[in-house]
Amino acid sequence: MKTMIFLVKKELKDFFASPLIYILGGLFSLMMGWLFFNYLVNAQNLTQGSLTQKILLPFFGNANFIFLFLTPLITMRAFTDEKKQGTLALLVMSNLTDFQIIMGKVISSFLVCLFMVSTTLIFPLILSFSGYSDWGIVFTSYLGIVFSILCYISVGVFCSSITENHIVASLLSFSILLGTMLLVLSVNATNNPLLGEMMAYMSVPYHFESFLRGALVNYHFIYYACFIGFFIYLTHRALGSRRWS
Amino acid sequence: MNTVLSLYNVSKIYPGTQALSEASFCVQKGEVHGFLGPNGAGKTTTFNLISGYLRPSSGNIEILGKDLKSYGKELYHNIGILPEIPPLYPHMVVRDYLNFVASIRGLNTKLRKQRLSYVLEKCGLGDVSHRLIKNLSKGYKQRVGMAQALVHNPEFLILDEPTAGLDPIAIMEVRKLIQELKKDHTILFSSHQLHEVEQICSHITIIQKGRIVSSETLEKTKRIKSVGHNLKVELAHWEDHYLNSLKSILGSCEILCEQKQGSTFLNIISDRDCRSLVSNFVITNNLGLLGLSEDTPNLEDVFGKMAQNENGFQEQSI
Repeated sequence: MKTMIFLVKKELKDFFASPLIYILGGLFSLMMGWLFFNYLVNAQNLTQGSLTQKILLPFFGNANFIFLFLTPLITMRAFTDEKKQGTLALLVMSNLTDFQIIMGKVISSFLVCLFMVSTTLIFPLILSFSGYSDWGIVFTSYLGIVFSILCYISVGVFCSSITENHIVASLLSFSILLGTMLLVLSVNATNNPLLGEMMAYMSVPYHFESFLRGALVNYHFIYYACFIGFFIYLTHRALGSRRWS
Repeated sequence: MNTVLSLYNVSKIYPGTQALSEASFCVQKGEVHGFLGPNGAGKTTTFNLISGYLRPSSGNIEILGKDLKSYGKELYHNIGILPEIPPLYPHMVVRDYLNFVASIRGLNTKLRKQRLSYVLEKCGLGDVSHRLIKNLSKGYKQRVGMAQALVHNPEFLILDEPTAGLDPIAIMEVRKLIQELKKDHTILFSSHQLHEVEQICSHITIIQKGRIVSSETLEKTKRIKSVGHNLKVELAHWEDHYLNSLKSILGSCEILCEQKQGSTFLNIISDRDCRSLVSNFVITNNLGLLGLSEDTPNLEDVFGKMAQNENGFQEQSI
């Protein structure tokens, strides 16, 4: 565990030494600021609905959508660089287990995303000055974002473990994530309610929407845990494939 | 326990290619063991198998008397590896990099500090310890690679072509470092630079197309695989009729005769040591011996001979 913390620290240093994270962070903050301002201005013209419905729900929905594009860019270097530099062997031939290496990558990417998410905390704070007090929804929305980001990261880290090319890794993870998102839209194409329900359940946004409504149901947590666990398992298999004799 | 590494009939098959075929050899404690072979012979595959990074398709590997399969992560406390391309993070400072490597190899803070200052001094990295790795010369990067292999003080060092691509001065420095390291570590060292292996190693294993051709001491390798005894004699007086007399004394041999600057140079190639017979012949006939020397075969000769011998080294493909 202690050894994994060394890896996380090193990864975080690498992230924050790279201009990529500042470009992505700046871009994300700019977009979120613009969206918040836009929803705030439009809210004045809408007579119905609370501040949550008029501002926060679309705001968090968009934040989740933007992370769908950002996380593949954050995770694309997780294993591709290690393979290119030959440093994967350095990690493997240390006290770190394959699982710890993967978790080190996941945790460090997650902390970077969390840093970016933290810049949006100012927006609910601004709303609080106008008397907004529905903090439960704010909390569940952030929780939903956090779980969704973890899903995106697990996919991104997996994709970087099966290629040595940054672009291939990011495009592949983006395709998988978009695929899971489009499952929700495919629900409309089927007349079979059971199949529709199953497809909806498999998509990340379906579960995220429940968090936006403040509905914390255990099967959403189970879905997130299974999704993240499945891709971490695949990454573990991909890393272990070097030992297949 | 004197055997640090033993390979027993180790094979590695990649899809469509047999990279290593029933390789067996041992490395004894305190040796600098050269692992010699041309590019693509299977040196790096062997090292990857020894380090546990890859698994053999068949056969057993023992390190410090224990089967590799029964090792967990403690294997990496005993071995230090410098791959052909040093595993470096270019955006890290040398000291931070070595500190990170020491940390993930389980060294505590106190030991880490001690080992860090030791390897920085030993590998001559003191002056560049605060520089980014990406800004270092290739020679220094190789030293940093060597330092990471040493930082946890392993008993057994595996160095995969440590001098590849370096300039002559850097090569000399790396060689000097290896000479120093051999006092405290057992070293398995690969190269295709034959003279380098000859200078550094006491034992040599030669690999060719995935097969171990020879695994002996340096002297024994040269002797066993030598191209024959090559005797050079310089004489003041010589007449052609002596040639047949000398041939009848020496038996099966080849004698080349050359006149140069008033002297006669004989080059006698024989499958046995014939120095005493030749010197007796020269003295008996009063030929005026100016010089007599035997050319000892160097590794280039040995390796060249092996490379020509394709019997049994046909490329394995399945």
